[in-house]
Order: sequence, then structure tokens, then C-alpha cells
Amino acid sequence: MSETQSMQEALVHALLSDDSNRDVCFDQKGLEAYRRGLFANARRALEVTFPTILQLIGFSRFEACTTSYLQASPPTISDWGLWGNNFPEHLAQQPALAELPYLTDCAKLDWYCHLAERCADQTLDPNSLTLLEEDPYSLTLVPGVGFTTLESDYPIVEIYRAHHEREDLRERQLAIAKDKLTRKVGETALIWRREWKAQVIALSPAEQYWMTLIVRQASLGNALDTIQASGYDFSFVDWLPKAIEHKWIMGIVQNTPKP
Amino acid sequence: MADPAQPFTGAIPKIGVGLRHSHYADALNSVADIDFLEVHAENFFAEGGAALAVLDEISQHYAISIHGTALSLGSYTGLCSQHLHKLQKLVQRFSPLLISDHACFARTLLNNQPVHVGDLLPIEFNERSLACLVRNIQQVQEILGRPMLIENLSAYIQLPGATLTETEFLVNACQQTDCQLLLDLNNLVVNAHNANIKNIVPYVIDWIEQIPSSIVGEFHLAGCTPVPAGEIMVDDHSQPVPDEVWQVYEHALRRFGPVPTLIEWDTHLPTWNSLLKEAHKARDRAKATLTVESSGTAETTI
Repeated sequence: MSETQSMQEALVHALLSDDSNRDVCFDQKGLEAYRRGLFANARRALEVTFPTILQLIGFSRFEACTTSYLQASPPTISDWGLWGNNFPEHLAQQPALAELPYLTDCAKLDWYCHLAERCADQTLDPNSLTLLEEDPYSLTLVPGVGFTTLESDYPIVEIYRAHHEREDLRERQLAIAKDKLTRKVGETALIWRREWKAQVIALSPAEQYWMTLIVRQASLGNALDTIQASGYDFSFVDWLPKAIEHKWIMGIVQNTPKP
Repeated sequence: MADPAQPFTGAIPKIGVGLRHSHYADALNSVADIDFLEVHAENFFAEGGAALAVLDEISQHYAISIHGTALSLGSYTGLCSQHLHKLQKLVQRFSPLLISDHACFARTLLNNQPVHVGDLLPIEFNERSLACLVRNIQQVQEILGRPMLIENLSAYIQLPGATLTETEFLVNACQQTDCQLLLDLNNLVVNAHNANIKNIVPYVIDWIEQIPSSIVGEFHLAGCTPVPAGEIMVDDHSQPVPDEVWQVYEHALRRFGPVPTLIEWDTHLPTWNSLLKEAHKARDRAKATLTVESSGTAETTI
């Protein structure tokens, strides 16, 4: 290994290590200046990505979690905005947070919302709706921007709303979330982006079943067969206008038959 | 770029400001009297979303300069292909006036895994490190199809193993790659403070004098939180440009000519109007300095 590489590895190692393991070959005051900057950058990045978690656990516990997460899973790429994919699992491993078992799922929801806001832009293709006259087994619905679902044993949508609603609505929303937590009500969240902002709603079991088929990109014919066989009361005709209005789907594509 | 054989003609440099999130609306509400806006590349690396849409709109009204903070040009392990690809897409989309990043490293291997700490860490000033910086700059310029600028750092530790001075190192890097130097004057002042230099302005001017006039393509001006002597000053871009930096700016203008100049302000952000006032101050200083220079009456040494 070249001396330059060794020096660079040693410096990064020194920045990420605990005090007792710190390399003594670097000036400690200077190292501390870099270290403060690095840990502050990491915390700020995760504050942007996990705003619900910051509110749920408060600044000092959040800061401690970001410090331990940076040491355990430092970024591998340059974009702080893409760092944090396993932060939810890191939270689950923190004994101090064990009394908040819903935290991991709330963090996953924050992560999906964050990703939805970074997804490539797409515009609705209204003309593609004329394809509905074609063979449904050759058609696939194009999911909206950042469209995904997240199933949880906890009322993650209500908890999310309690921390993102307008200030005057939060108390009421928090009461709903607490009530559902007490009654052990789980929720499945639908996440997508509309007007640049991530949107979150809770899905009924029938909607969850159907939306999951869309996420998996089943053909429209197969998806309709599957949901009919499931016994859920679901009407595609009623759902479609809502899906277009809310931008859950951006159009329809016809799959070319494989030769 | 200045031709040392010719006197300056009194041309005024392009003056820009760093654009940060909280000023997006102000910048769009009415088009400011400013020559360019500098954005941080990594803030626009998403595939889509609001930030890119805003920058699309901004670029309809202002020239854009793309300034990177995480290319890790001095990294011995090489550049991140994902980062390069994103930068290339951004450059193709916005055709920036200038593209720059720092002569530093942030990316290395730990236990054979890549780690990117997203900071501006110093590199050794020696031939090995220079070869690595040159290789990486050449790769970036090849991919972007145009020259870039590299910025001198404010460094809080000195790495052992230096065989070149900082100016020799930077000049060599620019000359071997045909890139230009983004001369951050505040970084020089910060380094002088941290080296416990008593007379900072003459010290920085001496540093500047070692740079050939042909390689400087941009100036950065900023101010940072003052600290007592003996404490490390961190280049936090939190204050107006201090008098020391204005003094060395005037000298730099006389030496390098009407080089594009940027006011950087990243923390404790002022109002948009205050930021613009700081930029207008830079324009007035440049005008006064270069007009006097062109009339041939300027003192060129301090």
C-alpha cells in the first residue's frame, strides 16, 4: 500500500474512531475541528432525511444515534442525501430506544418519503388511457413518482401525520395515533410524490392488495384476476379516476409480446 | 485571465454569490443585478424533484457556476464513477459558466470498503500526491469535455511528508492538467491565522505572489467566525468578508486581473439583499482597484 493511501486511510479512521482509538500522529486540535464538522454534517443530513424520527426522539438522542450510525455505517458515496438506508435498522439496535418499537417503521416511512422527493420527474400521459380498450393482459399501469407501500404492525401513517400536519391539527392527530397504538392497530402506508412533496395515506386491506400488485408491475389482466380471486371488494372502475387525480399512476403501457 | 505583459483595461470582473436554499424564492422573485450564481453540485444530484426544478428556473435568469465539495480529487483510491456520472449530467443540463472542486480528499478505503466522509480533507504536498491529483483532474476533464478549476483549501492539520510548498503543488497540478486555480482568499487568511502568523496580509500576499497570473480563474471571498489567537479558525462562511480579505482581494485583482469573483456565505445566512450588497461591495472594490490600475497610478505592492 502506498504511503499516500495509508495516510488517507489513517486520517479517515482517526475521524471516525472513538477518542481512545484515535491516531496520535495527527494534531489533535485540528482533528477535532474536522471531527466536529463531519459529525455535524452527518446529523444535518439525517435530520433532512428522517424528520419524523428527530421529532419523536428529540435532538440529543437523535444526535447520539447519528454519531453511532456514522461510525458503524459511514457513507460509501458522496451524496449525503443517499446515506441512511439502514438507519432504521440501526435505530432498532439502540437499547435506549427500545421503548419505542414503532420507531424503525417510522424511519422506513421517512426514508421512502425522502426517496420519493428525489425520484426522476414524470408527467401524466392521459393519451395512454385509450389503451384500456386493448387486451388487459398486454397492459401495465405506470406507477406514480416514488410510488411504494409499507406495511407495519404500528399506526405509522397516523404517527407521520401527527408530526407533519399543520401545527393546529397536530394535537388531535397525536391523540388518534396514541389511540391506535394502544389498540395495537397496524397500518399500511402508500407513499408517492405529488407537486414535489411526498404524500402518505393509509390503505385499506383491498387497496393494499391492489397497490402491491401495481408496485410489482403485474399486467392489468393478471392484477384484476388476482384481486377478484382474493375476495376483496374492489372496483377498478371506481379506483381509476382517483388514481389519475392523485397521480398514483402516470399512464398505461402496452407490453410488446415476446417473440 | 491576466496577461502580465499587458496593463488591465479597467474591465470589471463577473461578480457572483453562492445560492442557498433559503434564497431560492428571493432570487426568482426579481432578477438580481449579479453576474452569476454558484450552486453546490451535490445539492442537485437527485434524479428529479423540486431542487432541480428550481435550478432549471433559476438558470433561465442567471448564469450558473457549479462548485463541487465532494469529488475527492486528491483521493488515492480514485474517483467515484457514480459521482462523476451525476456531475456530468448536471453539467450537460446547465452548461455552467465555471466548474470547480477542491484540491482535497474525502474518499478512501477502510477494511477494503469505500468510505466517503463528505469533508474537505488535506492532501500531502509531495510528488506522489500530485500524481494522484493530476490523474483524477484529467479524468474529470476528459469526462466533462472541458477544463475545471481546483480550489486551495483551508486545512486544520498539516500532513507529514511534504516535499513541495502548497503553491508549488497547486501550480504544478494546474500546469500539468490545464485546469485553473480557484483562489479562495479567505482560505489563505484562515490558514495564516491557524499558523499563528502575526502579519496576515503581507503573508498572504507573499503566497499569492508565488502563483503565476495565467492560472487563476476565479476568486472566492468569505468571512468566518473569529476566534482568539491560538484557537483553530474554521472556514464556516458565516460572516461578511473581513477587511484582511478585502485587502488581499485588491492585491489579487492587481496581480491576476478581472477574475470572476464569488461571495460565499453558507451558515448564519444573511438576507438576500445583504448578500447582494456584499457582492456589490466586491464589484465596487474591483472597479476602484482596476480603474486605478489601468490609469497606471496604482501601487501594486503592499
